[in-house]
Amino acid sequence: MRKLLLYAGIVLLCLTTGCEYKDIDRRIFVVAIGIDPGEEKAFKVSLKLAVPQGEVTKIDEKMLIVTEESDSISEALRLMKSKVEKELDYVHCKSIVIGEELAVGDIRHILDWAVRRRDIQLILNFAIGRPAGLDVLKVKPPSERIPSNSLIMAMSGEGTESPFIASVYSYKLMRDMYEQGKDPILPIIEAEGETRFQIDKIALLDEHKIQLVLNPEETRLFNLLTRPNLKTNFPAKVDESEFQYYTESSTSNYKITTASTGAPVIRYKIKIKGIVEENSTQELITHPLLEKISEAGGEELKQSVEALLEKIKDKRLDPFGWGLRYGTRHWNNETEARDWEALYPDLKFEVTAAVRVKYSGLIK
Amino acid sequence: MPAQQKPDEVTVQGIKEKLDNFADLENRELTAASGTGRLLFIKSITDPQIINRSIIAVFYEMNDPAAFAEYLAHYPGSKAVEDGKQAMDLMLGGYACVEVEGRLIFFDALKAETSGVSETVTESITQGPSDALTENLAVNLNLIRRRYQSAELKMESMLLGNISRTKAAILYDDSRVNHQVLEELRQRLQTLRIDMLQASGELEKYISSDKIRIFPKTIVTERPDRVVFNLAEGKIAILLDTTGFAMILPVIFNDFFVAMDDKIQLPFVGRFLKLLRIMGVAMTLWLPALYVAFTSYNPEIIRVQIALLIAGSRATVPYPSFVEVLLMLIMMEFLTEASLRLPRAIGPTATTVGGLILGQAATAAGLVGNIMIILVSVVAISNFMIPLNMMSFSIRVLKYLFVMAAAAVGLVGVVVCLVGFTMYLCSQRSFGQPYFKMFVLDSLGASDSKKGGGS
Amino acid sequence: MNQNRYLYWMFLMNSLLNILNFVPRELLDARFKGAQTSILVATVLGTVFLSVFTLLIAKFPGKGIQDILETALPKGVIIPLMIMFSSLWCVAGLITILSFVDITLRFVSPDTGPHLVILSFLVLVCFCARMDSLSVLYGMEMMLAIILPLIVYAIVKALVNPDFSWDSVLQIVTYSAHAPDWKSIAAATFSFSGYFNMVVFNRVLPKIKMKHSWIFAVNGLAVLLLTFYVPIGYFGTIGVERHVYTWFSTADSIRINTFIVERMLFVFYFAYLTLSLVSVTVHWHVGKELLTGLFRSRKQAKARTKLWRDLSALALFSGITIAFMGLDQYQLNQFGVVFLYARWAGELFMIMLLFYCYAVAYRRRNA
Repeated sequence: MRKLLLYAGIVLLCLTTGCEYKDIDRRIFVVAIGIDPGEEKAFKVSLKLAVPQGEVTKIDEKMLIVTEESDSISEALRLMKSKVEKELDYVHCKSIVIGEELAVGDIRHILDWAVRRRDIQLILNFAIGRPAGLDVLKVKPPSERIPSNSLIMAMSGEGTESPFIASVYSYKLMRDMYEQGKDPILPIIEAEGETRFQIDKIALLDEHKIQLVLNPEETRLFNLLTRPNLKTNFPAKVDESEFQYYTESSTSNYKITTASTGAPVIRYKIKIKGIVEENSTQELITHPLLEKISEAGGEELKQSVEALLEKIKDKRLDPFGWGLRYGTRHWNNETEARDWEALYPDLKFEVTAAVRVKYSGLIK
Repeated sequence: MPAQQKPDEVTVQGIKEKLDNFADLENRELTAASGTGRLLFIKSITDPQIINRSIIAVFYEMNDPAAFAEYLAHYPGSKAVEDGKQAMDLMLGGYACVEVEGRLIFFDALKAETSGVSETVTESITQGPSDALTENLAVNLNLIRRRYQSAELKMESMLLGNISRTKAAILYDDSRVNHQVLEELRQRLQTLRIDMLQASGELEKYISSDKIRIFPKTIVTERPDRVVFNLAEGKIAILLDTTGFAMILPVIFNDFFVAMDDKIQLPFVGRFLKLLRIMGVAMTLWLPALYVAFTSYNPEIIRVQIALLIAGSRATVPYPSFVEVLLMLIMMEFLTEASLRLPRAIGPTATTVGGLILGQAATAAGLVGNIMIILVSVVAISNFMIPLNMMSFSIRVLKYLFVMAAAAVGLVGVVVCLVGFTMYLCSQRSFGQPYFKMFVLDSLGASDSKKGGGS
Repeated sequence: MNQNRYLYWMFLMNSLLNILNFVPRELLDARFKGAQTSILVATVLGTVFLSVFTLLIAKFPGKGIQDILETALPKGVIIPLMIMFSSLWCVAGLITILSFVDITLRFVSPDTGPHLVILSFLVLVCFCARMDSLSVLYGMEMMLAIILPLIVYAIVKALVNPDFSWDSVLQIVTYSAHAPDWKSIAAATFSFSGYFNMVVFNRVLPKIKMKHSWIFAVNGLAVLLLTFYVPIGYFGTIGVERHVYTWFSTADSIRINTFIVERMLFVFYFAYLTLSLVSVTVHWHVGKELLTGLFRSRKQAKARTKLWRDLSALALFSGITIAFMGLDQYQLNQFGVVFLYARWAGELFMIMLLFYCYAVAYRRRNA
């Protein structure tokens, strides 16, 4: 009796297995999705598929891009199922690139889809593709061995630590999009031909669409203000000589002070410890000169940061979350949002940049 | 003959009382025309030749107790003792106690049994003693008594098996043993009805009450130092004549992961080694199952780079992953079993042919993935990190259960199996003692053994 | 090591388990209203319940709840009481299982059918819940030791993420000046109700004593605050309400840089699946003991009859679970909320019963 049960169990087990799963080699992984406005329909969805390699030692990356147009994203994906022989698997999708044309409209639909779908990660990079999402997907750097790996590496900061890249995961995009008093940002990826891309700009969005695009200079400053220890270099001009100093450590924080009378002031405090990296003249760097570099660097930084903040303010954007910060310091929850709205146009900025260049590098 | 003239109560009677329950204690009366004497010694550690030639023969030849006493007292290696403790030490150290003419003389008759003792085979260690138990019960007792010179080490002997009449010795430290367990063991041995008993492992099967036994509930070891180490922890050892293995009980799960070198190594090294073994068990149990789960059900868990690597290595494999895993695992089992039976000279050839060539060819032919080969090797190696064979065999079989669970429901199956495995271990009792739990030290307390299922 | 640690493990298990489903959802729904004051009130109430209950049950060392009630109440009252309490535990386990089947299908194995998943859970739980009480406790301790480091790792990793929005958390803190509401309190006290399992485990833990109740309070409060604030830090003050399985989505937002598993979700899933299975085992073990206790006869029952009794009790629980599988997301949530209330009322009722029994015993002794 006992043995019979055991046999029955084994047979049942064998029956249940083998019918419900797909082996890894019967799936094809989508590593990136590009979404552009279609020519006839609402969306043109492109998928970048990773084709696994049998021979690991061979450096030969294979990838496949399939494109489909439809009025809804899911419909486009379903249609694409019949274009490949294996099951499309989205669990390893690491980036969604939205075409710029689409992003000036409304991206909430796409975000909603990406967060709602169970098999798409919340740690997936959202970005804007220039000129279009498809073009970015098509980029295939020669150094790349795993499809789309270069994009993943660049965006996650595991590979390059560029000061111009700001990565935005989908959970963050969603948080900032719905948050009261904070506006989302998205990095812009520009495709340059078939083999290179460039990520050095940030698009600032209001609730749902692009309002302002920062140039690389501003992007770097933006990153300096939003994350600690940005590794980059800034210029400093003393007399006629141009210096560049490398930031070994950087911090920035701000306070919003609203005096009972007068305009509210946002005081930014930036602290940088640096090391001289480049000197355009042959001058020996002495201690007084080092101090001068620090001072000049700080002054220059202050100017450019203030310019950036003013520019953002003119567009009535809030990518730093000033409004939210204002809310955290006020307990009048019913009225604080309206208060902030009223105060916003009168905002003043005060930036203090404490740059301390401590070393002259290996030579004086 | 009364012995009241000894000032400090060292009497034959006293010694006998202390060595109560020593089945190998010999107590002889020497009677000659001119007087009597008494001879007391522990058989297993004394040399009968010395006793015969130097004591008994001389006693009858002299036929004069007083002169015999003088003779003994002046014999090199004989001792008179001051107190009971010393007397006990000498007795356990292989001295014979002779009482003649009211004098108590201790005579060195230690049997140095070295000839038959061979080196350990199944439980080798890098440093430390390497003698193994032999097939001779007396030799084994000698090996143990020499390492455990305490009056508390009691021995009971009995014959097991209607036909084989195997001599069995139950050893325990009276002051440390859990008497409840001892009583239970006695009871189980008494009710034993078998014809043949040839090995210690067999005995475990008979005295355990469970029908399904997945994990060994007793340690079977060939190392006398392990026996002694466990005796000192309050466990019971059963020695059987004709087998070179001792059985130790009750045991807990952790005991199977103690190698005897752990004590010799520096403390942090010992801990590291133990950690390695536990990691080894985890690896050998989980790796094949996780491979099946990851490739068939949940490729989303591993990062994309690895997923693509696995997918690439499996590109040519024509069957589902669990078939691949089972195929390779069984191949590996063949290899282990085959190299076990092969003569020593051919063993390495089999491993080379099987391991290297077969693995290489299988991947080249596209029947299994590269990653699978790595995995199987890791599983095979880590399986043998467990110092005691019984456990390592249990684990070897159990990993198939995990693979089946993974093949049925993926990662969920692996986790369910893991929880079931742990809970099952926790529900086990070895002779009423919890088999697997945290903070094992207090498990020897009586309160916990009140309730218990299993054996 | 004294036996009090088992009380702590029971407490910790429930407290960690609250993250799973209903509690964070209820609290986060009330985040602009009274969730935060409710957490504080619940901490006080929960600790008081826990201390009073443990003090009372410690007066009856080595006795299960049925033995205790039999000293003071007639048999006719005890039977419905026992059935009621055992159904409470049955539902506690059932909700955990159903939620986890849902989560599994949502996050991990959409390919495997729900029936296979629930079947494997039920088989395991029935197998484990049948073990004797001490083994269940040992097993619980062991599993907690395995998964606690993982949970702590996940929480630390969540908090050190530079993308964690502390401003959102602070913003919610400014909403704390609201009166507590019943729904949130009922939800938050769930975090403390692990002690309730003592009704059965008291039989095997005769030496339990109520000591250091502040540890429970601090621990419970910390877990509740983490439960509440961490998702806000990831999804913002407003976006957070859009997530169904808030904590699993939170875990999905954490990335592990240096491991073969990249998504924290799966580490978290592994830890919580284990925790849930152990917790269901414990709950159903209690439920089973309460139910089979009714059929206890004077003389020792044979092992075989005991086996059949255990199995039929557990089969009943499993059957109920499968019957409830048809609920959709919102109905399940509704059901969970009702359970949160019922459990709380049950706790209060049990404490009153115990108090009555103690009073009777006290009077008898002094009479």
